[in-house]
Amino acid sequence: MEELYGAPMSVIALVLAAMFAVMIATLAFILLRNPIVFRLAWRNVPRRRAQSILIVVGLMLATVIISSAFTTGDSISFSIRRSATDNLRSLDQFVRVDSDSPVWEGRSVPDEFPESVFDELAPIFESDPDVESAVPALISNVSVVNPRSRQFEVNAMLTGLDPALADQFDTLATSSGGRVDIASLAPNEVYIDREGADQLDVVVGDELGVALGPDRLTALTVKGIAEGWYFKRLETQVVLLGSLTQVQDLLDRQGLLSTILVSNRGGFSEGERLTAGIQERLAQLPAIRDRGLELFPLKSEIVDQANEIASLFVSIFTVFGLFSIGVGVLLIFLIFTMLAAERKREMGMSRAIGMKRAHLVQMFVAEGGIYSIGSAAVGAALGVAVGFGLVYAVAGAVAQGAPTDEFTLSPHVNLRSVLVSFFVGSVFTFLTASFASWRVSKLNIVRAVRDIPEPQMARASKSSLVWGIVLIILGLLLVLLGFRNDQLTVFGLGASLAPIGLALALRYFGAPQRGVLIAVGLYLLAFWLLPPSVFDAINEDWNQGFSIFFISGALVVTGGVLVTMNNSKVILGLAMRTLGQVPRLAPVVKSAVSYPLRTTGRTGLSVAIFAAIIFSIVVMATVNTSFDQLFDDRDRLTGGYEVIAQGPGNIDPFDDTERSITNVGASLNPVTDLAAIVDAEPTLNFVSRIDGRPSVGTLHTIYDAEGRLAGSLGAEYEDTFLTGVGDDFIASNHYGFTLAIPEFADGDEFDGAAVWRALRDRPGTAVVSALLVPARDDFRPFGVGDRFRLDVEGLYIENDSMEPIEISVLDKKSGTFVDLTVIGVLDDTLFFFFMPPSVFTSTSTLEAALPRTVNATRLFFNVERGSVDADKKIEAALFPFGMDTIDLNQQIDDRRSARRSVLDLLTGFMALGLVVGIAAIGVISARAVVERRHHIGMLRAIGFTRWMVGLSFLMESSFIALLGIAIGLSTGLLTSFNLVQDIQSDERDVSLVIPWLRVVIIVGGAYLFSLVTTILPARQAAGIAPADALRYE
Amino acid sequence: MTTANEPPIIIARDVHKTYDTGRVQVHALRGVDLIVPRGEMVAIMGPSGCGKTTLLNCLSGLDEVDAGAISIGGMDLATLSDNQKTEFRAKEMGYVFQSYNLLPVLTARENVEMPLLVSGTRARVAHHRALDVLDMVGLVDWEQHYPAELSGGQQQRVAIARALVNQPQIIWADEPTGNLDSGSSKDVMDLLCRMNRENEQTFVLVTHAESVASRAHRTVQMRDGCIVSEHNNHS
Repeated sequence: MEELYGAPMSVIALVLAAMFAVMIATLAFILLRNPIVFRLAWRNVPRRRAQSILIVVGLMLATVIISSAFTTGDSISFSIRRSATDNLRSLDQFVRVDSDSPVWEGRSVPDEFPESVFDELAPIFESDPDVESAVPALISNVSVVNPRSRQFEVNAMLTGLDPALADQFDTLATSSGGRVDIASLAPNEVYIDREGADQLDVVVGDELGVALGPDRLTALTVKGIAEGWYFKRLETQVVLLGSLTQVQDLLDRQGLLSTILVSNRGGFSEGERLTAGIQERLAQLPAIRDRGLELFPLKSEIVDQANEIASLFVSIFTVFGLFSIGVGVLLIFLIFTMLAAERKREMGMSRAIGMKRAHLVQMFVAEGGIYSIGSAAVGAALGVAVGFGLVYAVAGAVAQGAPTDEFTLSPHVNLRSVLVSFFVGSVFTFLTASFASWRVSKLNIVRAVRDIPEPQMARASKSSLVWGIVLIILGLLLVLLGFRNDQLTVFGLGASLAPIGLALALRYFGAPQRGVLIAVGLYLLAFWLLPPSVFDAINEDWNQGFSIFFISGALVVTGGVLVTMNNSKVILGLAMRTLGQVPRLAPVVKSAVSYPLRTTGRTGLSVAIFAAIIFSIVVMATVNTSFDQLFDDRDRLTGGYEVIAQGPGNIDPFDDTERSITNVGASLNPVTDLAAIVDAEPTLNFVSRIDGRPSVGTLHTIYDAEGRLAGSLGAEYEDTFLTGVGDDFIASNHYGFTLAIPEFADGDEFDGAAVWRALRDRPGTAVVSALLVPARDDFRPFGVGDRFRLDVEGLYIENDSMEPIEISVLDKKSGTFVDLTVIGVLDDTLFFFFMPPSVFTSTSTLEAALPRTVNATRLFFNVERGSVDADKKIEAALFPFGMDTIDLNQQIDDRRSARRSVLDLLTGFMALGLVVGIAAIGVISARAVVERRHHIGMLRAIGFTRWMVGLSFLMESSFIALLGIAIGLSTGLLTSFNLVQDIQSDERDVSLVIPWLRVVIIVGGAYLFSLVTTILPARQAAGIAPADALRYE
Repeated sequence: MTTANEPPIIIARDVHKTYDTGRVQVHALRGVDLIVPRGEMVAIMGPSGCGKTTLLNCLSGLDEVDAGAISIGGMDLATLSDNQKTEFRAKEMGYVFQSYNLLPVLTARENVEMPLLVSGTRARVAHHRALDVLDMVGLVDWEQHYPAELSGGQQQRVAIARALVNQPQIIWADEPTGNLDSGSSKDVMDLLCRMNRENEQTFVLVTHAESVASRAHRTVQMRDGCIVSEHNNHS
């Protein structure tokens, strides 16, 4: 993984290493300048071993989360790279036709180039010190059948190479131990790769049928099975190897090449590193550039892609882990605050005998540094283990939805990632500890020595007023900024900060603390739980991203905690009126509830930690379950079809590497009249009919197209797809529209059939995929990137209607511009690429505008209910056309299942934060036993049995956990309700579904574990002998 | 004080107690014998480390003895389980400590209520009874205050109220005036003596102060874990 959040990992590592160095330098300074202070800090660590272990566990949790996210990213990156190594073998780069070259401007872009290019380039490659070898090739997608075994495969690749140079490029052996000798092949002989042979159940001597073009089923005999190949794409199932001239003859492409394969010196990584230098030297050679060709760095592209995907995963995991990381930081703060409380007397004494405040800070900072390094080291290592666990889980989830078993996810971690996690963990723990140290060092010596609680000030200090004014100004600025830019998150943040600032200012003027805090809490709760309609009334055009989830979560939980912790008497009264009525339980309840309610700071922090995590998990689980209903509306997702057939290479149309050598969509035997084919094929009698005609649809997609808004002179054309929609598709599909021009409005929705008819009846009209239109609420995990979008001011998919938009689309192959008027935006259907992310117009518009014919790329079939194995039968019938089929319902089920698994995994990742909450309760309990030893003795003296003391501690933890759960659950459910209500305005199929079972399991599990964590301290407390406890000071 | 025919409420015979700190053994009690009649106020005096507090803890069942026997109200402490001893303490004994040992998270009234709730008294009854006792010690107006909001003397009076609220037979007081000024000390001792007089409760006081000891019926002197002398103050 090379980048994270857009910043290079090497820079991130360097910056963090520098921060770590500063941290070490600070510790060294303390050690040298005040060795006694450092010694005090050092000796404090092993003073209470159990407590120190607990502190390390608490401090390391944020590091575990970060480290596990990095490990997951590294594993993904490594697996993709390994898969690329397996598939590309010696290939690093290749020469191909550059469809973007100015050479082809106004001309049609050819698929091949003359062999003479290689003659020109060969000496250049030979003289380049970093190029190992280069071999000219002609490669084509074909379909293959093995009549003997009755097996067939549409994802096959026929590769023709220069026999003399192929050996230099890569030496392949046959399964019988011989050498793959392409030169010795007869005109009708080929080698087949091992996997292909297994797929088609081929033995040497088998005669294969290869579909090369219309009615051109050629017989080729397998001379041998090769243990490898020269080039293969990820989805390629079968590779047939032949000589260049042989394949040129078979395809009728004499004297033409589709590519020149180039191998760099060195192995995978070393060779890949040489790519940039070779590109610099050779890519701009006239022999390449002036001929409209390019030297495409395939391996580097795949490595970059691997890094991008890995970076995306790490981003997703760290974003979803944000709550956990946040509460981890709170826990660090809590731990150091409690450590300070424990040492209050010592600190007072130290100050009394002459230590300065700076010495106390240094002592805590030194101790914090020691803990930071220890906990970050443990956390980084444990995070690797957790990451490996996640990788196994992701691998399982991905395997459910993957079309092939080609890609396997393997655990892997780089040293740099471990170091970055360690640096992040230690530096952030250190910074938090330093801040906590600075805070706790402000003490009154007498009060500290006598262990008297800090008095509640009638009015806050002047700094409170200053902060208050700063927050008010900042808040108002953010409100203004958010409102002007339609950013709800910024607006909401400002609207929350301003009242907090006002509260601080009011405290300075003597307003009672409790009243002020309750008012702020109630305000935050009310503001962030307002129904979306209220915000819409303020501004209809709010934009919001994923960040609002975290901001609203943090603030709503803060509100809940403020209100709860400042109404302790109500809670105590409630507890006493219920549990307190049970004889003998009353004193236990009173003691269990009174302690946490009197230490509001630490209890509030612990409750907030628990509540924030419960909030995030509840919202995540509820919204996901509510969204899952979208999968139920099959007609909407599939357009009413059950099977799609498409050519090879259609799996990821965004991926440039996928169309690397063999042109996607180029079919040797195109389908011209699907209905006629279905009518003529008796095995397809299960295809439904409308008015006697087969209910089928045809799409003709141009993958090499560019688009821009009409009238945007000077603007660059950007990559896009242009699809011709056949009349058969228009007549049979049920796809709806999320947006259309007003004339198609039908109540709150649009008349989809009318829009489709308009596309057919009004030449020059078009509709676009929803991905091509910006969204206000951008929760989409991916979009079209830097490809063509309808960036018209004010146009969002959430709008009620749209005006017609003029666009211009260029077919790069023919160099023809097509002017279109967009009249609708297709329904956003969970990113199922059953419809390509494209500009759609009618085939008649396309035929009228273009000087060439665009082949059918995707075929849709509506089949009779109850048809069995429809996809397989269609694939068999369309074998000569090289079409692969997809069972749409199966695909939806698989994706739904994979989606659930991945989301469960992410929820599980978020639930790691619960460990933080549970650890917080453990820390508090352990600390409480030490702190209250004297009180325990007194309670035992006045009649508390061991059991009552233990129960009191357990109830205290329960109280904190249950408060956190109650606040998290209630605010989480209310937020989910609001979110779903907001989504409902765009997605009619979504309604609030609370996954009670899951919620109960998560909440119950968290509660039980928090009790388990307290059992040990509770037992310890119960075991204290009263006389010992009373003697202890 | 009760008559001579009535059996003593506290009988300690040849009580030994040793603390093992790992490195050294400290012989805190070396064969202590003590008999206290019902209703008597006994003061235990002696230098620091002579075993006064240890004797108090052993007599009250807070600590175990290594050898010897202790009988309280005719009950042999050695025969009681930990739970039985705890229940016995809750019903029959009250404690007053030098550092008050009030629960800082509870108000004055809630602190006083605690022993009643522990012994199973209903919350409403405990509430009223606690107020009565606070009234008795002159702190009913301070019932809603937390310990940190009270003076040392007030805190000790709350502690006394807590010790008395269950109407125990015996009240153990370990340096009850140790943290107080002379004025507050006198107030506290006046209160203890009044309770002893009015309720005929038995008081065992550990103290350094002659002025406190002189208010008791009898003073027991300890040294090196043994009772070395005793004398009646009002003979």
